Amino acid sequence: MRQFTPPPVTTKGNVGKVDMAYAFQLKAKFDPAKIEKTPRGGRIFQGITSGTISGPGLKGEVYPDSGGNHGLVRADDQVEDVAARFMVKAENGEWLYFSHVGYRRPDGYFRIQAYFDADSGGPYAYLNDAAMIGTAEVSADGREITYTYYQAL
Amino acid sequence: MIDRRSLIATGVAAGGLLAAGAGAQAPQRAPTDPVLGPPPPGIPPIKLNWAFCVSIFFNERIRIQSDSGRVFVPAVGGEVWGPRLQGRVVPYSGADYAGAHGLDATYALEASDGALIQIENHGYMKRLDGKKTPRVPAPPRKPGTVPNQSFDAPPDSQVPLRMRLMPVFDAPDGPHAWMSRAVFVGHGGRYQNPDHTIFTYYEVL
Repeated sequence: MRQFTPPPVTTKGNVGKVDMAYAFQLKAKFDPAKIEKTPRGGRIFQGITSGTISGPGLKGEVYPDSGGNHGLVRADDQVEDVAARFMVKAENGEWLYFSHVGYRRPDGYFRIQAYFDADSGGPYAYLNDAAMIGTAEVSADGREITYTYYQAL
Repeated sequence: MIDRRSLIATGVAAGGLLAAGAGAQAPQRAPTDPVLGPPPPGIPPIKLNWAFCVSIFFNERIRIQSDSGRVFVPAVGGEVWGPRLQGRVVPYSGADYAGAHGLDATYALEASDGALIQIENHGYMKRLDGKKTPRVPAPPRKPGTVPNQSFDAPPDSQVPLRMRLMPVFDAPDGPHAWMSRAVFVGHGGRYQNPDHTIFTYYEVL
């Protein structure tokens, strides 16, 4: 393996600052989850049935049955490696693609990193290169999830 | 979305960006981009906790003139420092292999206790001067020749950049296992003399 010696430059003062701004909130409804034990862990099957998005960054509706949760629950620590995909129709009628990754832990921690595709000429183009982080709150029956999205400015 | 404060913050991180004159340029955003700020009452702000920084040094950048514009920017080495993790970047353990969109880097960190931690670094770089970095169109290839595939990446002091990251770590069981169970967000700053980037990572609480 090639070796490397860090050059004598002082880098340790340069701590970058991130401001998080509120973008929007999604209140989504899901089918009951089914979990199948697979070699990779507990594979989640849970379709998204509806959802409403509101906030300064986006207003729209989830396209029913356009996807859902398909994450994996780890066999050892029961942490869910979140994976979710679905489609949204914004209030102007254009389609948006949503993808979530992240962690949902038995202790209640549920945080995501969100990826989007939006028409690059439209008002939601900012989503294409937004580092967007979300919190998620799950209802007692597990069928309603409120995602709150914050953009790293 | 991009306000003057974030430009100034980037400038401070870049160590003299404003003195270099870039501060005279108003930060640009598309006119249709939303202006985002703190959440309204009833929605809590999201909390971050500084975890560590990674300084990575570079000595070559290759771009393949394919439809995706795939790059190869190897992490030749670097340092990891901060409250939650200390160590180094394993030399030549990976690279940024970004394609059409954003960063797509994978390499290895080695904690001071010897543990290897994989990082998948995803993120976006957006110029704050409103310009697009032109992709140099590939000239017609002459039979039997290979074009120059090297490219440069200027420091923030020359081209103000908002680099924000959504990394995923995979750490072994033990003191670093928390990194495989926490969502992170990060900041990237570009520096020169020598060519390096400092990534600052925050745990999302």
